[in-house]
Amino acid sequence: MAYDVSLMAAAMDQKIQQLQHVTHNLANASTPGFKAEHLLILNVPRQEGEPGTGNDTLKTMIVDFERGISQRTDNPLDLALQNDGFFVVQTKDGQAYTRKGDFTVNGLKQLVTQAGDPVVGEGGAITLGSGKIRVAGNGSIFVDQNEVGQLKIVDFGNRQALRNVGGGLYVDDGAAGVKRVDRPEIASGSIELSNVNVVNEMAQMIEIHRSFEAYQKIIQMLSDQDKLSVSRVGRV
Amino acid sequence: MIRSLFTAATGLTAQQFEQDVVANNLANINTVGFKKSRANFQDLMYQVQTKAGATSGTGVQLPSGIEVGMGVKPISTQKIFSQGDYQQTGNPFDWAIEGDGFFQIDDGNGGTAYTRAGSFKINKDSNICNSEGLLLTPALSVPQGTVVITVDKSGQVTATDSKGAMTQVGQLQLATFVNPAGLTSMGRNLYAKTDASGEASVGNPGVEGKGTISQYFLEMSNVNVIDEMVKMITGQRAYEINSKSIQTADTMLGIVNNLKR
Repeated sequence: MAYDVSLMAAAMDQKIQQLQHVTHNLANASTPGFKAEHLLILNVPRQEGEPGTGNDTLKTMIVDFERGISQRTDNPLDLALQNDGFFVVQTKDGQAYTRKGDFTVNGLKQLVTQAGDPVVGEGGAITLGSGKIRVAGNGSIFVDQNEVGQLKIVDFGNRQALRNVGGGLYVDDGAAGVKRVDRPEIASGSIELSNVNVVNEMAQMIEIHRSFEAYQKIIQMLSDQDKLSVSRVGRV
Repeated sequence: MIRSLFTAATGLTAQQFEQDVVANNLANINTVGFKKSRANFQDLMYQVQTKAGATSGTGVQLPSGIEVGMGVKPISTQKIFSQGDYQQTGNPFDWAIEGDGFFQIDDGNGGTAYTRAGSFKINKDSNICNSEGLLLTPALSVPQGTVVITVDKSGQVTATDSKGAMTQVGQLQLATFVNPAGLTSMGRNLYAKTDASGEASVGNPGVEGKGTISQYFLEMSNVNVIDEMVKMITGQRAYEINSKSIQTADTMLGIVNNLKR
């Protein structure tokens, strides 16, 4: 039997996994602060002249941290980071980082995410009193004319080491190399849109679809070959 | 089954939800005091397939892990309390709030509801009520024989009779909230307070950040048709794209089925 069939089946499986990532990106094409994810399948270098075994591929996921475009919303609590960095959020399971800046206020008058997790400032959670809220470009938060807090913005040496936990939140397991951003630039009344490039994703979807089809043809051809060799060899 | 099918379905549901919100905004474009809503979305949980820093089959340490997302979900709808346009009506019982704050309305069940719709009327007991007949709080009663009623910027209501004698009718009060986006919409232009909005802070117009009153004006809805149309277009296209994801996943399943002839 041609054992290449299982090799092709593995390749088809990889394409299905890639499609999952493409679909997830497209589903989040309008989620604020969402970062596109790509599953790359790489070849590991091997000895010249030897055929591949199928086990020498390396799957790796890259999160595209490219900035998304900002959209004006006129809501003072919608914050968009204008340069690299992340807002810090205190979740039940510890600190998380996000670029999703559609914040709101909870009953304790704290600045929170839409999921209700408090946003962390330089001095812990930021409590807003009553009054007109204004966020300055450097991340200082004012209520009427009084400064009530300063947003904490951090960045990472190796952002790819961040773990995605959903809800636009990323968690650092210790390998990402957290560092402070000293001069953040924040636009209040704007929101960072998803950075999914729909054209690229569609092109990728077509590529996945067509290679999948090609793999099917190869499998069919291999099994045809098997059929021939079984029937003809038997006849001799 | 290919997981993409379900992921794309979450995308379709989310876009449909977005359209529902947009449609409601557009339907209320001429509703006095209406505030537009916005649907907020977030990505769903991730399934970790390979942890970052793990070693691959070929002995190479992986620089990043593999996490597969499950799609998207709507997380909240948020009222945007930006100022609506003013329309001059010439009606002395049309009051618009310039700035933050809500009129307080007795909801008839002992509670207080809040509204920005300032088109008031007088009921048969000469009390000031909203278009539905619910009484304004604090109650204002217009004396018999009143010819002209005036409301100044700070909410003082004065009645003048046919002889020109002026009577103080009362003081209008406004309520503000720390987080007006946390109010729930009861429909009929009314809002109710929640834990997220915080307690109402009640005071005279023009004091402590509360807006002032403009008589003879109504506040129109703050829906911006262009914004909503753009949202509708992007929403429709996003819906289309997600349906393409489903089609592709489906075709690929068909290809798998055709492997064995």
